Amino acid sequence: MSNLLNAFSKLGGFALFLFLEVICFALIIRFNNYHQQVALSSANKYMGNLSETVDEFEDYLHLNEEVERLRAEVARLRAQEGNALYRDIDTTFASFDTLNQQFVFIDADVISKTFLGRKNFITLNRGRQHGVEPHMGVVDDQGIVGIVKSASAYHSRVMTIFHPDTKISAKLKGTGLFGSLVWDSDKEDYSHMYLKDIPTHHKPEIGDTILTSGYSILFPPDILIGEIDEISKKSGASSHDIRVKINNDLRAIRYAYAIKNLMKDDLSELEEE
Amino acid sequence: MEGVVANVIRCVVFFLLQVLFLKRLSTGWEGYFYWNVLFYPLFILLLPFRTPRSVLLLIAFIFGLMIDLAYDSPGVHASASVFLAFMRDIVIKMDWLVPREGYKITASPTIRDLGFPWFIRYLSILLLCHVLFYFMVEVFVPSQIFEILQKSFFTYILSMVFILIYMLIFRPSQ
Repeated sequence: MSNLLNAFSKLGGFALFLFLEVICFALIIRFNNYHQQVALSSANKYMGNLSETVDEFEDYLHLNEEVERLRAEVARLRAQEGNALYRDIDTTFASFDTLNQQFVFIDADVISKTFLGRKNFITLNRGRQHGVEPHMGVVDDQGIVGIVKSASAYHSRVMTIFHPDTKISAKLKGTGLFGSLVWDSDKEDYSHMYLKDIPTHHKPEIGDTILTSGYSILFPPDILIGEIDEISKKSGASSHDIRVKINNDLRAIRYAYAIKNLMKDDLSELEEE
Repeated sequence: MEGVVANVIRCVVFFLLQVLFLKRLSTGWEGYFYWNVLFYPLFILLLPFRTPRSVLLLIAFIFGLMIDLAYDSPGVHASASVFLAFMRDIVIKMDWLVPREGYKITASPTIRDLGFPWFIRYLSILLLCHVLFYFMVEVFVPSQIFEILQKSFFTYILSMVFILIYMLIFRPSQ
């Protein structure tokens, strides 16, 4: 019993000590300008950090919506870039030229992909309802992806550049040279393609950039494809054998943009004549 | 009863000495000063052993607040004094400080009762607690530890000198 009392009185002393110190610190922070400022600013600092952390965590919860939104925004902005526009020069009023929209971008999630054999397809979660139609180019943020082969109401199937039937019109940056870019389906190498039809009297160099030419109705001009990493020449052939390192990695692709060419009918009409 | 009277008188005298004389000493020179003379903790150190712990803490709190009123820093001296009073109880019971035959019930923590070596040990450790705590609270920013230590060092030495001079000249008995 006396032990208990002893312990209690000891604890009581400590409690009183804490109590008095709390009063002291309350006085210090309340009545001393300097201390008040220090206390406030450090409180701000730590509470600021805390709310920032909470904020960051909340951002994670909304990340998916945010990505959706940003992708829509990217699609909108890409449609405003120079290569998506058709420059219409009105010769009657010499100094006026108007820009017509030629390409618009439709953002899509990649919902399935296979990179196993010779014929590689991916599936997008956008279809005719969203304006995706067969024979539209598909790109992602770092390069080209492929060509829409078929579209249902809400989904579409894209023949990737790693498919034996794919042929992309591509050019060497800074020159007028262009050729067709194909994939060697026998090698099943998912990071290189071959640029054909560059005549041997031109001397492309390793490291030169390859862009879309804009000569097809699929892709706007000047979209990055990759760069040259090997040049060889078969004896007697009239064109180089150029191996191109593809800029993007399609096996890691998660979203893509289908490109709608608004002047497609106009161009097809021309070809039919 | 005599003890109470002596302590009340000491309280007033030390208070006046601290706020009228020593305060000016530490703020008398212009510009930056490293030191302060904290003499008033001696009042708490000289309270008799038989003072109950809670009473000791309350006395220290009130005395500290009085000093604070004069220094215009509400709470700073009071918190250090309360800490000193709290530590005093712990330090007194430490093995290396307790005399071989224990404390007499009527003893006071003075040179006359317990000897100079005992008093020096008692004073040095508790004054260090007080001064360090005081400057920690005064500076209030943990990252300025260098400033805290610098101020504590000079103040500690000067206060020690003043207190020892007082103790050796007046040799209070209670």
